[in-house]
Amino acid sequence: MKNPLSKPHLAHTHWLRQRLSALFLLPLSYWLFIFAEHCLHADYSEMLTWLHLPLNQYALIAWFLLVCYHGAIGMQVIFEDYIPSHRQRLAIWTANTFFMGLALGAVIFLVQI
Amino acid sequence: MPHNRPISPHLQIYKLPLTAIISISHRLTGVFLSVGLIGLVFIIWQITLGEENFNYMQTALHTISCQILIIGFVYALMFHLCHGLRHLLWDAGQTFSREKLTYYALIELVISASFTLFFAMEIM
Repeated sequence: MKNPLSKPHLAHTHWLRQRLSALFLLPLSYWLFIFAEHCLHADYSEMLTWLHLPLNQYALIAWFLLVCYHGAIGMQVIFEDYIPSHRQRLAIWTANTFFMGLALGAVIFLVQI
Repeated sequence: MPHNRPISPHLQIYKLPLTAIISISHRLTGVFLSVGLIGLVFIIWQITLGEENFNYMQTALHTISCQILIIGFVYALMFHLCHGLRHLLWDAGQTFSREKLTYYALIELVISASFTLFFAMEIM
């Protein structure tokens, strides 16, 4: 991801993507709470039955992908504000790798189930 | 440039208004939620590993330290969601007056706390 502060039109795209991912995440949060409820109280077969329904599976995958994207954008803004420029790129790169790893892990596991 | 010019109050001696505290909390909860994602991915990983791992993880989730973390995560998520909604309202050019800013800040706090309480009582 390029530094959006360097080019104004990139800043706009950056801003828009953060808002759009937030908008899509709003309804998808519902599935996260149902998932949390199952993690706490369902037995293993109930959990699998719930996860095997395509709607639930796709909603969770979409939630993880969007949340990692949203988080990467947000973390980049925080680093741009608080970290001096020579270390900024490394910090942003680290955060992006972190979120990409998490998204990849979540999708692989959810598809496996 | 002379160095004895008056400067604006530092953060340490300036009493932050509620709106400023809410604003920085939005970032802090964002960072906290990002770290919490590791836990969520870990949970899904345990589910893929089979029934024994799932049961073990479920028992672990019912320990008091995990329950505190879960409630913290839910509160952070709800707060981040409420304040995020307000960012969307701001983007639409709404709720900028001074009274409304504090009023909506209070509403955010009440809604996120109520939902967390509901979650804790119904689901935990």
